[in-house]
Amino acid sequence: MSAIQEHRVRDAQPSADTGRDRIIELNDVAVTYEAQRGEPYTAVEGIDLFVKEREFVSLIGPSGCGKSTLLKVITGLLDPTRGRVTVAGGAAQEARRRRLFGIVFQEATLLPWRDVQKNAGFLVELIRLTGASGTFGDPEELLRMVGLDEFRHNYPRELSGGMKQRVAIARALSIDPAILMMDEPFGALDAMTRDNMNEELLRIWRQTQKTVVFITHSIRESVYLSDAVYVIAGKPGRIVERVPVALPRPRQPEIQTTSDFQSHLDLLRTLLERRQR
Amino acid sequence: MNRGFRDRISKFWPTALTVVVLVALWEWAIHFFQVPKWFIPAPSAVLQDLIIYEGFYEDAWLTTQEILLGFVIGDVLAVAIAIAVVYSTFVERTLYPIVIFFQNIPKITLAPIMLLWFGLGLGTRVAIVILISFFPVIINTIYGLRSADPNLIDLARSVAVSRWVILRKIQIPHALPYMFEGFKIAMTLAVIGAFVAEWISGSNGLGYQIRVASSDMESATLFGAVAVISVVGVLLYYLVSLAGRRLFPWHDSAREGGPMV
Repeated sequence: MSAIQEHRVRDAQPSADTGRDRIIELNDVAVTYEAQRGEPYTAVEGIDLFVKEREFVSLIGPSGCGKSTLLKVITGLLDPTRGRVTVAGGAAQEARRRRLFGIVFQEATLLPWRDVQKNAGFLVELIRLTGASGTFGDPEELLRMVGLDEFRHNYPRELSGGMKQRVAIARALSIDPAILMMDEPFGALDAMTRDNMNEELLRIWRQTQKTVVFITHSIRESVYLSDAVYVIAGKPGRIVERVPVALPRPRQPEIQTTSDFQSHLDLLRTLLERRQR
Repeated sequence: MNRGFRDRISKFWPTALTVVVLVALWEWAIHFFQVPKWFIPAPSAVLQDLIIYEGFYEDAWLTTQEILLGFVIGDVLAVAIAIAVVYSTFVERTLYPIVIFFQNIPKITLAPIMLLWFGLGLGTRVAIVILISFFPVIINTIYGLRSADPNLIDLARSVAVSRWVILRKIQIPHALPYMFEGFKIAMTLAVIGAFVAEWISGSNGLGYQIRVASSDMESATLFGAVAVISVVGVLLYYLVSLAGRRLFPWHDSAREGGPMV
């Protein structure tokens, strides 16, 4: 896609929110885990959240605030104890069965006995074995997109942390999901690789036009990547605020030195700190 | 000759030399102190016995067959039941507690019961080997199946992959190296099992030879039989271990949390 086309897609100003283009919506969601012994544990409570189609939304908050629980609830891996989860107009379970989600975890979770290409194609293989049919992304093209086409016959042990995550991203995209769910995908990478992967992710997002839900610890990362940031805090985790990120796109690393960027960081930091006290 | 092999040779020869010296010392001491033959045989006498008595090799082959038969049946059963336990909550609730209970019984004490049921012969021996090699394999396999990466399983579930496919393509491959650890333990125990079974039930086999040689004070035969069963045990263990290393070269580094996290 040319730079001009990218502009046209991305510079469309957010229209008035009618709720109709919301691909993910959570209403008053709570999740309580039954403990084997002792008190049941409530991970999140009173969660209202929405993500619009093709939006890049981050969830940010301290460890243990229930961010990963939210990921499981949205993807239909876990049923909420209370509240309603709607994805693409239906229940989360239904969206899961329709294979609308591509997930990337903090650990790449690659299989050591499969090379890059076979790891990237793993989910499609499982789906076919399950007996489902469908059209899936071209594996060669996916590997090219994540910049690994030259490494397709390498094994995970021969890859760096960043490269492993690229494989995980290719694998998530291989089923051509509508929504990319990312749970601290770059949390285990060093700072430089992380910056690099941020750029790659923005590029892939522009190319694929997916909706992205991105969980992170990093305030900077969330501002740089997102259209909106949800601040989550407390135990049980609650949403403190939805902060829209009013920075132009496409974004270059230099944007991080602007005062606009800085004021976003300050706002998020204040929200997180206030909640901690 | 490659370097790895030469390295191994250079590490090996001090041990080999020590063994040669010790055996020579033993031979010399037997003659010098005139140790009675029934008490300790001279190495040369053991060797002579090993060469002239062909029955040894028939017995060794019989014992090996018992070990292999029981080992294979026990392992197949153990793996199948382990998969059933992990796949089905019903099997887990009904069968698994019983497995755990029996695991804590010293299996060798059940040998006389097997003798009662299966009589003198192959049946008892194989049954004992099955019994003794079953448990380490089932315990290890269940552990391996359950310790597959939960994130990877979630990933498969998130795209509506069936449980059977998850088991087949994620959990079972993950469990294979753990299974092989179980096989290794099972092989060691299988040799003991076959030996004990022959001791109590036989008219042939190395265990039987050892019992007879012991009561007849035929120390050369006794030592020879012990040497042969040791060699059989070591060889079989080495085969299982070699198969494991060939099949899962990545496993050691994976277990150490090394370069492939």
